[in-house]
Amino acid sequence: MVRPVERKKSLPSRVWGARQAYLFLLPLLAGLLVFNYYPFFSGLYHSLFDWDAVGTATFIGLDNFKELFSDPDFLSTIPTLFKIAIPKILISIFVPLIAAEMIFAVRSDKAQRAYRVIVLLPMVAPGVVMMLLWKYIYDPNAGVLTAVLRTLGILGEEQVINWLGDPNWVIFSIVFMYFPWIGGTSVLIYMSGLINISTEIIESTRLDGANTFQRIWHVDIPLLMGQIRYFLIFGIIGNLQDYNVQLVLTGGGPGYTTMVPGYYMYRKAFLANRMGYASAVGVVLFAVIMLLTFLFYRYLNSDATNDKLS
Amino acid sequence: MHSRKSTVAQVFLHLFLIALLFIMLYPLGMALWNAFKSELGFAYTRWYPTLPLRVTNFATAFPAVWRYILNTVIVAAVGTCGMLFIASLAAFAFARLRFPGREFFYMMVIALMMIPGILTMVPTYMMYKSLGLLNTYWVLILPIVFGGSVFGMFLLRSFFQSIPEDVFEAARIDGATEFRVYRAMCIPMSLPIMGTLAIMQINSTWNDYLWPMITIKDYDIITISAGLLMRFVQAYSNNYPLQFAAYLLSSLPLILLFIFANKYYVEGMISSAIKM
Repeated sequence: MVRPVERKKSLPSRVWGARQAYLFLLPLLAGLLVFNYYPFFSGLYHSLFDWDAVGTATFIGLDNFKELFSDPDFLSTIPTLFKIAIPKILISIFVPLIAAEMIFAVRSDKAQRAYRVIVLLPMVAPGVVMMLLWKYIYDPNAGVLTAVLRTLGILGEEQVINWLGDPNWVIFSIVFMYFPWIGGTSVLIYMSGLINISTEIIESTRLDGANTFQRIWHVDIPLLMGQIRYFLIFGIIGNLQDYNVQLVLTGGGPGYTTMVPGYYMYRKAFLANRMGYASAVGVVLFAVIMLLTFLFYRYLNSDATNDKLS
Repeated sequence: MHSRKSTVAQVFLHLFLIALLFIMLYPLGMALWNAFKSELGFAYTRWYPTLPLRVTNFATAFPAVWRYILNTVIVAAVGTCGMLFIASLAAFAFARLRFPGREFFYMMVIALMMIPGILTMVPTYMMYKSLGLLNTYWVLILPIVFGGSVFGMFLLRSFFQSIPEDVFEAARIDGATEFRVYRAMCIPMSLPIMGTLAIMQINSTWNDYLWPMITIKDYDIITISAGLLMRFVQAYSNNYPLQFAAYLLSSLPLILLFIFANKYYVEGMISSAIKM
């Protein structure tokens, strides 16, 4: 509440009057300037330099970018990135939504609460442990996946698919990892949205004769747009720069089939000591991520149904 | 009264959910029972638990990983406490105080959520290098304190905003300073959401291996995920039960945290209303 008296005061006196507020902000803002903003600008700046791991920097203009866009190794990472990221983003938006709707449809309160807790259970294993467990699942001879497919008769007794080593399968395997993709907080975030939809609205759609699927489509999804946007935006930001699987399991291979820009950058920085060139990769990725985030954010915000209902 | 048809639907719903959750949990189960097997037992079957339970795997794995676990506890504890303090101070100012430049400063913090870590990783590494902080606890703790505060502030601010103004007005009339209002009223009321935030931060510290792998050379400082990946898995690459035992040991603090705090966490997540 800005009181009319305050509005008449001059800016310096308002700043002085609110000095306590600035003290509250000081630790965070000072820390962010040093530890977050400085590296950000340093990255933009040094992308124009030949910068080595010792810290020696020579200005070379746009040479890093020229080299980058004429490097076939880098250019081939771009389609790979989208082949992995698009299905992963779609999965991370829709599968938890479906799971949340299913848990929400459970009538018993007690069971619903139990499901909510169980869904979180995979959090107890560190991510790297989960990834290594999936390595055993994908073991071509002794892995669970091969065993299950053989039992079901989909895979012949002698047939062997090297899930992470076969160029034709490796991208599928990366996307399929963590199936059924419902562990963790996403389901709860959707549940929180569903619980906030008033029971009156749900009751009235039921009285209007709508079935569950019609309700989900016409009521829940528009009201969950805030959550969907959240998963989409952070899905884009997270997935386009992700290279965990490459680092731990595939090493970008077999061959170059799973090489993504993030891992390319990592190798240039920490294996080839080319910090300036790596910064240029970072700048390009940053630009792409910002552009996509902005476009999707604008597009989804102009969604009329969403404005009407929320 | 529910019709028989909808009861049948409920039964199928439960069966379907249980099947999905079973698939989700099976890899964890595998880690659990294989940790208790001898190499021979593991060769016999890895699909289900077998007797006898072999505890010696843990005796072998413990000396190799306890140091990493301790390091992670230190880093997570110090980092998370610092993060909660700094984030809650700022969130309080943004949520409850009026001052010139509020929107600008808020955007300045929130914009950092949009900057992908990939752009800042190399320059951040170089910065810590020139500060001489590589290979110390600080290079692990400081990014948690400040980097973690961005999301922390975002989450806490929306919670602080939801507290009715009357509560604060009464305290201010009694002459309490803003810091007192923050400390004596805002913080106690938001313990569940701060607990949620703490769990998220501890969890991500446990999970992070890239940053420690790059910045730490000394195995007396390195945290658990990086330690497991760089040292343990390589040293015992052929003994799977031993690896699983180490995974289980390294998950133990997270399991305890989960047992004691899952209620808090679920409540916090459900009430947080994360969206954009």
